[in-house]
Amino acid sequence: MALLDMRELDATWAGPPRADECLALSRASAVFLLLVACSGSGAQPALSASGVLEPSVAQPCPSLPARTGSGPKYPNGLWLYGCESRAPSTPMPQFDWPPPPWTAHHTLAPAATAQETLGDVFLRVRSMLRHADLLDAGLFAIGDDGFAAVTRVESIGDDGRPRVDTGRFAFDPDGNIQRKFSLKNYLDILFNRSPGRFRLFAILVTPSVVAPNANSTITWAQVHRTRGAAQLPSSLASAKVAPGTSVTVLVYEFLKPTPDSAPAVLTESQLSAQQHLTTAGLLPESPAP
Amino acid sequence: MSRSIEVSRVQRHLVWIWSIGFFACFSVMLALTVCGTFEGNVQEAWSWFMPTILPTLTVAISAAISQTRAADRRRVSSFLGSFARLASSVYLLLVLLNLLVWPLTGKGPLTWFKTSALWLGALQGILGGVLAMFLAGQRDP
Repeated sequence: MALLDMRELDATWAGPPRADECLALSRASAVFLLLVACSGSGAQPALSASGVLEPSVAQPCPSLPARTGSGPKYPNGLWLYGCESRAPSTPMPQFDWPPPPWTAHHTLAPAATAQETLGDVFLRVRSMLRHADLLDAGLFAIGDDGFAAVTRVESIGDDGRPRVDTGRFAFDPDGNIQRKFSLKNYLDILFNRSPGRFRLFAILVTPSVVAPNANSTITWAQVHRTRGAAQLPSSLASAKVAPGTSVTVLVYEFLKPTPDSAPAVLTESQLSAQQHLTTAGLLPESPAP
Repeated sequence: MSRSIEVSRVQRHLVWIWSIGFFACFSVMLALTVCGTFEGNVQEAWSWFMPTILPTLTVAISAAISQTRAADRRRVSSFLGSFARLASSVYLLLVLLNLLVWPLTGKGPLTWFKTSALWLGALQGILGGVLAMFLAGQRDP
């Protein structure tokens, strides 16, 4: 809704808009919304199931013809044009492609059929994230037929489990873990017994081949600087799953070797991707043999 | 006439103070190095430590040796002697504290050492002045 511009017509009203201009008329929040169709521009305003207006294409409509005369007065006297100038909407951030080299990866069994949409797959990904208590993952588009969910960086122990002694997310931007004072914690820091170990997951849903970009690397500063979107745009969510789409989880494990150094991504880990996923709670733990 | 003390005696005390202080600080530095606290920055860490202690330690020891050889019986104000010993002890204690207190600062050791070098350097300068005054202030009984 916030993407829509409002324009008051009052004195310049010359009757209802032409049929090709009107795509939908909706009432929301006690305000009549007149969505002007932008045929030829590709802009197709859409109403979601909840009745929330979601412009699906962020591009300006062609200029509207001028109107004269007086029009009907609506309760608040406002006509809202749905797509006349819905730009500038914030574009969906793109995931760096190909992705920087990862520590470990795991491809989940194909979880989508051709009839499903990316939104359906996203719901399953979100379910995984909810189970792992990582719901605040940032979303990125991968081209126009995929997306990536990148989780927050979490502090982990040597066994891959989220740290409970200090807190899963209790560290500062330099990767210094916030510890309560105790003799053990003090000695741990003093003698570097428990260097910071961190992890993030990038869950990729894409038909493209996932191969690392050897020329790039993911840095600690980059991790903290980049923020993804909170939701999938409706255009992406409603897109059908492209053939060959797979769900791949990339694990980026960071190690802060000393208190003075910044955490750096590991190319090899003592833990497998499966162990990372199960200890994080993204996958259920396999029963003991 | 103020109370006085033999210079050689004070110097012997200073040698002990500086030797013990150096040994304690050196041991901590060694332990931190072995445990990997300075991993990748070992040279930088020792580059901070050595100039913090060695110059004054060297002066104290060489002065004591030369005094022993000369069999000097000169005396100095006991206040000056006590002040030199106290200043040396406090300084060495501060260096040792610097080595041990950084985990409580939320910073890495090198970051903390660099910060502490500002005021430790100033204290070292003052201490050098005190020791110089002590040596220059020698007088016959």
